[in-house]
Amino acid sequence: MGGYVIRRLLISIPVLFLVTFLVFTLIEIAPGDVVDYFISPESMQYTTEADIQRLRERTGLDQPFLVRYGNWLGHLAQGDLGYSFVESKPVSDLIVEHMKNTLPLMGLAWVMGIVIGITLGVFVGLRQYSVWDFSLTGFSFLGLSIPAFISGILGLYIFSVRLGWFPAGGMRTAGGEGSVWDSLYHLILPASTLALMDIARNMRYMRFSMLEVLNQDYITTARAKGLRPRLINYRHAMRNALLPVVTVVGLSLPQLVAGAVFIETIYSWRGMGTLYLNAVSGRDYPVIMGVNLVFAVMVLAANLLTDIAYSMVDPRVRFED
Amino acid sequence: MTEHIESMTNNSVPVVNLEANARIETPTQIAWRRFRRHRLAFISLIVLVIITVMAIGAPLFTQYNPDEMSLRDRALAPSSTHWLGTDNLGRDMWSRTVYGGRVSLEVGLAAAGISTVIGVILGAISGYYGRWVDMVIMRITDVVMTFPPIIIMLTVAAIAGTGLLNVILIIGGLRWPATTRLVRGQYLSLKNQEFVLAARTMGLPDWIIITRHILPSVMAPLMANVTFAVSAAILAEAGLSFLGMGIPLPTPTWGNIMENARSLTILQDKPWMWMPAAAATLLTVLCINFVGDGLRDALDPQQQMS
Repeated sequence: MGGYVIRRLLISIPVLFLVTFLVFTLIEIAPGDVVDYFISPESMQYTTEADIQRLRERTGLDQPFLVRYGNWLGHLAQGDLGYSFVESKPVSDLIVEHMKNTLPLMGLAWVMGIVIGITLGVFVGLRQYSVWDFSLTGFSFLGLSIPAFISGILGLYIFSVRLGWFPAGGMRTAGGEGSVWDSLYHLILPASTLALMDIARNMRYMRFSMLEVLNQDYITTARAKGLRPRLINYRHAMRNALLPVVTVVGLSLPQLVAGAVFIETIYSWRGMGTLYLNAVSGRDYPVIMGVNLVFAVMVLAANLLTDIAYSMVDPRVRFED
Repeated sequence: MTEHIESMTNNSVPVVNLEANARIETPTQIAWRRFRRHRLAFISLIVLVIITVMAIGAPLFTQYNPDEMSLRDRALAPSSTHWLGTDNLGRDMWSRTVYGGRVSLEVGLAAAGISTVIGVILGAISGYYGRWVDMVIMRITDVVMTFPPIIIMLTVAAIAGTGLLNVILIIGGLRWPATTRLVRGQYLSLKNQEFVLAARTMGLPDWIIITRHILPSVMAPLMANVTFAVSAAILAEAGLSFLGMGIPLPTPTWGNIMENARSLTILQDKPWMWMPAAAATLLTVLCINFVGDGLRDALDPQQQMS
């Protein structure tokens, strides 16, 4: 066990370094640098080449690429992600501030995906070729094909504009005292639309996995010795069918992040997605770098945890190379 | 030895039905017959052909120029003169939707083409040569896959700028890891087969073995992958344009038409300005995915359902 975890960790380290290098290089290629932000258009005519040169020296921009990358890594290791060009706040503060709003959204969507998706998957897996199976499998196909920006808009249009069940975006009622219930009320619709793809995918995998397990010899054996069907379905079949789904659940993070960018935009949610999108349209490179890094680290960590969790529930993995 | 003969016969191309009237079918014919039996996939294919024909022959199916503004006809609801109404600048929505399909399909096909070519080349090299080459390529793939797709696409779009060509290159240039992994896996398992060994014994150069001997066996799983790549690319373009970082106006695409829905008044009171584009995107993507599913089933050699 310990050996497997260490081996798996060692693989992640070069990937992490390559990720930081890629992020740094990308921004390096970008036209313009921090000096352009220092010089306002009004002061442009008074600025000489020598002034710019001095500024570049002071900000360390005149140093070679690899030296700057090293410096940047050093700051990064201390949690220093630099300053936003636009908001003149440390990038790390901005990220923490927006992450507080994104985590409930992505977290709820993730949990909904697991609970609803797996429940439905088991339900239809036990009823192959029934009406339920056809309609829910059809739904899962739709759920897998519909992108977050369409499901988000349709959700907003149907449940908020037409039916009036939910507020049309925002995180709390304007002027309200901001109770937990109010926040939850605002959270449900965005989280549900974000969860749609996860629900569909988890259901599809769970159904497939259930069908496969139900064909195994040990299920036939359990049936032959006269065990109660409930016991066979839930104790024998479901538990084993859950194994491969662990991986799917753990690897859904990138999609969730991508979906959150659209859902947050549509529902005016002040989370990481909106922060990132504003940074992208404002060419606020330090924020772009910071958000990219945070997301990449989150994905790497999720992959790592998934592999470890999988090796824990399925010991066979640890022994193969 | 028997195993050897078996694999030889499995790879021999024509399937001979000895019992009946000895009809000989090529693999393509078998696949096509199986595909047609997949009803939903077959219907989807027909719908896709219709959509493609309309996109290519857009001027034949529309009576207005998609970019022509008419201040007198602003924000009209659907009627007999404007089938899907007009937008806030008086442009005909039906024309914009049809012409938008042209751009969306173009981006989807071109980007999927680029990502497939990159994916096949890297995957083939990685799987065939293995060892450190494989190590390097796989680590690069890991790194690219670590970034959520739309996030890294937006970053590159912010740096390289938007526009049709950039969007195609960005999507194509970042969508290859999935293909690479698939192709690599195929090459890994195929390179130890007898026919590859035979080719090598005959002294054929590596690139001939990679392209002429192994690649045809990879085509079946690759075909389904390509169709899914097309739908993913169409969605990526729509997503980027929806966020205002894709193909800029006035060029219509389904994505930037849907950008209208980001205004609450349009979302609420003028559904004709965004619904047709959303419906067209969804229909196209659903159809492509159904065709992909049908292709995967039809080309799967494991499925011995004759």
